[in-house]
Amino acid sequence: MKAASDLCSSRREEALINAERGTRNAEFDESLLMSAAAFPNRQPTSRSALARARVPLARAALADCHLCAHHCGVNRLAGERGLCHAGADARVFSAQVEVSDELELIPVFAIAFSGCDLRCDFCITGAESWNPRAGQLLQGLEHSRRRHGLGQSIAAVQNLSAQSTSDIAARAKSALAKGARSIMILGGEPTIHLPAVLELVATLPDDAKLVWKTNAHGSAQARALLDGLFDVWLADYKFGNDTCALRLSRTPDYTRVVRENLVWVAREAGFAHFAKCVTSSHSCPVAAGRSDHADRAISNALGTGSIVASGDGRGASVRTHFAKCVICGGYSCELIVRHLLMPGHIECCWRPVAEWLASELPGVKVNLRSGFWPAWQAARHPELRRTTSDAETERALALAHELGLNLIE
Amino acid sequence: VTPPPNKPAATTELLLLPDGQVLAHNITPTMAALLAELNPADEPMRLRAVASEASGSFAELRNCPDEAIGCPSAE
Repeated sequence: MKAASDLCSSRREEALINAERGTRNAEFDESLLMSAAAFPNRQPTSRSALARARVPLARAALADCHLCAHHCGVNRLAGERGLCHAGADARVFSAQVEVSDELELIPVFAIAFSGCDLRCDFCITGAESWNPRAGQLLQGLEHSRRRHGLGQSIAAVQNLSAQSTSDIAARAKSALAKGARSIMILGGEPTIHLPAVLELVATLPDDAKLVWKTNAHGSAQARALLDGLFDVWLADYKFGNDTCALRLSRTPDYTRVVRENLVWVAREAGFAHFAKCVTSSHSCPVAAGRSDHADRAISNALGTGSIVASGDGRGASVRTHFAKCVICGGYSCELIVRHLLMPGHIECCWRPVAEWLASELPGVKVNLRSGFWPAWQAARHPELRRTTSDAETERALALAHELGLNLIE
Repeated sequence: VTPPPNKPAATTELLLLPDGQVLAHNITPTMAALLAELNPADEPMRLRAVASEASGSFAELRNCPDEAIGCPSAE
């Protein structure tokens, strides 16, 4: 019988080999990610190293794509397309310094990936978000190597301008040097381009404040690949019910998925996590149900002070972090929830969102955005042909105050 | 990195409404300063302009015509 470490190692290597071949059956599960953290000689020592170690896994995931909650299962490496229409290549349609976001984050160097897994008719960047082929091709290190190995560059073949991951990273570093406070990766929806995102993170400074701007529609697989890499999760909670979500963004099962993501960030990687922080092996709340892998990882963590374990009892719950936790010196990942007020959707959307946040994530930072812009195909819906009224905004704010939400600008 | 010729290095989108409201998207530091000057009563925009100014060397970006951080003209 194989030892657990050998088994894990061989499965991981098999997945890597499959990824290189682009085969559909590339194996992937969360336990593969654990292997890097579980074995001392493979444990990444920095955020960039951790991101780099996950790139092959993310690429393997494209062969049977379940990065978002649509779970299309298509082989993007072989040219198949799911609901987001994205292939194996990632494109960037904007990379610039902005001050539109939360005051605690700005100025931010915002890197926007083309394509999205949602189809919001009111999307303010609809042309780019609905089209993963918009913008400039982003050539990552692995991608370039693969293309050059075939003797041709996709950019040259298609006569498209392209940016390299290192070019973007250099611009981000320059922005930081000139006073930008954080680097934000967004879309469209960046989750659908995780291989490129991880390559990008691998080239960014380890001490940079990284913000993950997401529609919170990712899968557990995507969350595993992202775990421990971002300082702030800036997550949209757009719709207060599944009917509006389906009608306005063609997204089924929206509420469950978004809530699952938000709870994961808050509970598994965020402030609630620290209450269960492991500072000694004997007080570890993971003890009930921990696996051998978790045991070894926790032991390793205690040696480095860099790993925090959560108390979900599933065993595969070790998190690797690289910033400071007030309890253990581990990581402090922050969650900010955004809601864009939509005209005519205060009661059906904002109220349920606000009530759920107040009930399930008390104290979480909430940014209530009032500048609805009837963009893209918003006119398909009569109520979205205008901006929100002052009365609607005031009513929404009053509800937020009534519920005691922690509003931020 | 040279942006494609048909696209500026940095972009802000504005929506001017008939009632005089101005909505802005992807606000750059320069645009925040401009909008704050246009409407000093707009407190959120003033805070964004202040955040830009407070970030020290961002002042030099204000003098850069295209704000293209990392672009040859701004390096």
